[in-house]
Amino acid sequence: MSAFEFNHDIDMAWCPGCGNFPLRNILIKALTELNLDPSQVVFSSGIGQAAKMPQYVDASYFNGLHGRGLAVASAISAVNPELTVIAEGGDGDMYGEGGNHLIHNIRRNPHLVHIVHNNMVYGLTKGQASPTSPIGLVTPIQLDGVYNQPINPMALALAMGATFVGRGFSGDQEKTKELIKAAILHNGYAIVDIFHPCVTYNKVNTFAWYKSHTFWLDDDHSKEDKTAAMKLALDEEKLACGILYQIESKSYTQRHPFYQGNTTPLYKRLRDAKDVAKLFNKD
Amino acid sequence: MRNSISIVLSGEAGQGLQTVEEFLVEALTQETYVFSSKEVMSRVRGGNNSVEIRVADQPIQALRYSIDILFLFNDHALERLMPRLTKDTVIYGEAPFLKSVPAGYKVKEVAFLDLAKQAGNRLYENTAMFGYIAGLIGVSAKNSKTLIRNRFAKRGEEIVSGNLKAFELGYDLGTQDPDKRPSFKPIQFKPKRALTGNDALSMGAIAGGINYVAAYPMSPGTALMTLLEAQSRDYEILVEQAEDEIAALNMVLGGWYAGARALTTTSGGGFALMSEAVSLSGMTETPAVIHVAQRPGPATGLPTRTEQADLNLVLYAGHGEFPRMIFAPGRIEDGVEVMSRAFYMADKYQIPVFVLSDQYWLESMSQSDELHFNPNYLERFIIKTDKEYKRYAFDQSGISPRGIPGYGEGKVKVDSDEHDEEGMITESFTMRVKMHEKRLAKFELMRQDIMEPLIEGADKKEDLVLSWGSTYGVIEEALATHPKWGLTHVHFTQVYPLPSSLEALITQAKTITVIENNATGQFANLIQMTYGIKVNRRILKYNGEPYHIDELIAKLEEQS
Repeated sequence: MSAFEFNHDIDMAWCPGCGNFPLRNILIKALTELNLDPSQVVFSSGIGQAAKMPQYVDASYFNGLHGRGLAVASAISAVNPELTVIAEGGDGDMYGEGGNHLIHNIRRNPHLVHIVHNNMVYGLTKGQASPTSPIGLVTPIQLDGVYNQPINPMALALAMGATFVGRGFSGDQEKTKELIKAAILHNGYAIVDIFHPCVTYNKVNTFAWYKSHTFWLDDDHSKEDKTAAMKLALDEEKLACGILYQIESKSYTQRHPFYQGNTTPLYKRLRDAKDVAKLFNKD
Repeated sequence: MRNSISIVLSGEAGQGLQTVEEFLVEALTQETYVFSSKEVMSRVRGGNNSVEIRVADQPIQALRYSIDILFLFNDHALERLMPRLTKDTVIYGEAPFLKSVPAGYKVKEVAFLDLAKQAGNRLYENTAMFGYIAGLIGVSAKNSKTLIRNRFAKRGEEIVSGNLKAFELGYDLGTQDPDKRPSFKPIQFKPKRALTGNDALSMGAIAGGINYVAAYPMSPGTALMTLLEAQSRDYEILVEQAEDEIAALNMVLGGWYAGARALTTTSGGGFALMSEAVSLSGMTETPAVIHVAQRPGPATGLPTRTEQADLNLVLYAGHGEFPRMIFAPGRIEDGVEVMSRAFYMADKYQIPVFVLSDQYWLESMSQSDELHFNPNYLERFIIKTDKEYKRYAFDQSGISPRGIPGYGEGKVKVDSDEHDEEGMITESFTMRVKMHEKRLAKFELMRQDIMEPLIEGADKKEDLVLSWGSTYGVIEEALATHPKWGLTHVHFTQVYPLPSSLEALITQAKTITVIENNATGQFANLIQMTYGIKVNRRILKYNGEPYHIDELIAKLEEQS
């Protein structure tokens, strides 16, 4: 049994047939195959059905506020660079409420993985449009169909200078697992947008729809080619999966003057009263 | 009112008012009692700003409204200060600047620019003015020159000697001025340290073990972040400018969760954005230290002015019910004490702790004999976890021992949903009640750590004057110089929770007056609610300025 599985039954709050179930298996396999120690892995999430994932994987977590999972994750990785940090949530959580944190954490390039479950609809609030809902999707709020342009998270991440941009699909478990492993091994910020069906609220973007609209990149795709990656990201008919883009760059803690020459986590650095006394006895 | 002279410098932002202020206060603090504060317009350059330096032969921590000596830095520096002039005010400046002074006032032309040029460079103008004022009020030239040498040493010998020359030229003229004031020479005076509220808070944060700052700039809360960044190399402080205030407090919580001692600093408007995360701190029992630097609202209000109108905001911020602690520094040394204590209390009780200051207190320069810090506040309450660790265990102490991820074999599961001992989401009503009562029981545990107020003035303790935060100095002086009023001053540096030990004092008082820098008497309302009494009178000010000593005395006099 994986160290990330519970040794007792757990009650999972997802609908039968939800894409979150295969995603959970993928995630646990990825963590297990990388031989990570659960006490060194921390999830940070917000609110929503996707944001419940940390409840069902036996590691540390901070399940905070809607939209703020990335802000908290960024701080956790900043104060303890030794941890494996995963920010996880849905499209409404991470792209809607948390949009500003997305933009600015790409700039920071914190050493963490940002997993976004993208089913193009709100679940826990019952079926309203999400920032990625396609134009025309009928919802209880958008009765005549969605009329606002959806966000393109891959193109946004590329434009902002993200150092790892990947997309997966819960229907392709093996490939998505490898994608998550690559993201965990990446030095810096890695965004992984994962398509998965919402069986209750999205009758347009179904399992079959994703299956027929997605394809996986092969070795011919050069991961360092930003123009090629952007072309793939902008193609909304044939949706590319895999690592669209990856470059090497220093992470937040590698750039920050604070950690130069000493990468010890903050909790191991104790302030000495003698040093404080120097400040008080100055001049 | 204590015997004092008030010197006001008035000019545009960027003209060097602060340089002259710092020189004078630092020189004066070696010899006598001094207090200074500034009022500025919300702009980067231009406008009209002023600095008041009040010098006395007894301790003071308050401004005076009437001006004794005024220095004009340009031709449009007078208008806003007209109501503060008296027939005895002497107004100094270059000839063209004095043209704006109406007839009937005493003016004195001094060619500061010429003095600077004589010394070798027009840039020495402010130093010439410093010299003039130092001569005029009898500050020791020796101390002043040491300050000049120290300040300019890095910029080379030419600049040091030029400034010294400019100082001497000004000083000589100042001492020859027929309006020269006798210098204050308090007996047995020990040189003191002069510092701003911001300085005191940054020292307190360091003494409280701060090692992480996440904040978004907003006046007047930004200076603390700037000062901590300046100390970040010497004291290992990781400073991050957040994308917004929402991120800032969430990052502070992420920081504490992962083992840091973190602070955010902001003003009322920025803090309004943090409300949800305050509640998150309460629910997840993740400590947080939040500095809220008040300025007048609502909304953008008067961005560079002062007020004490965010007590209610801080007291009630965050949905749901959970414990918190709120401090408000009054004396300069309170800044050190409450900020370091805030880190300790946040860690000990796993709660959000607030330090509520204001623009006036933060930017004033006060004196301190010796600043102390309490090394006990560096104590940490983090435990190393074992495999069976449960973040929200029902512990005998009433507080669940706090582990952090990565330290020990356990997993640290923290949840904003109602949760069980392990930290897993629960919808059990029984567990909800048990967990909620565990969090709320901290109110009782915290009682042993409530700071008692300062009680001064009349011994009979029948007629009380209650105050909090930055108004301490002005009320202290008003009451100490008017013992005939028979008023007892009760000053709170912890404004929440309030101590039950005061119940007898407050419920048995004949009259209760509350003095605050806001329009509705927020603290008076809190006192009424806490002690079940009626406040007899409220003295309130809400024009964006702090109280002036002469103004407060007049108000108390007319009502006594």
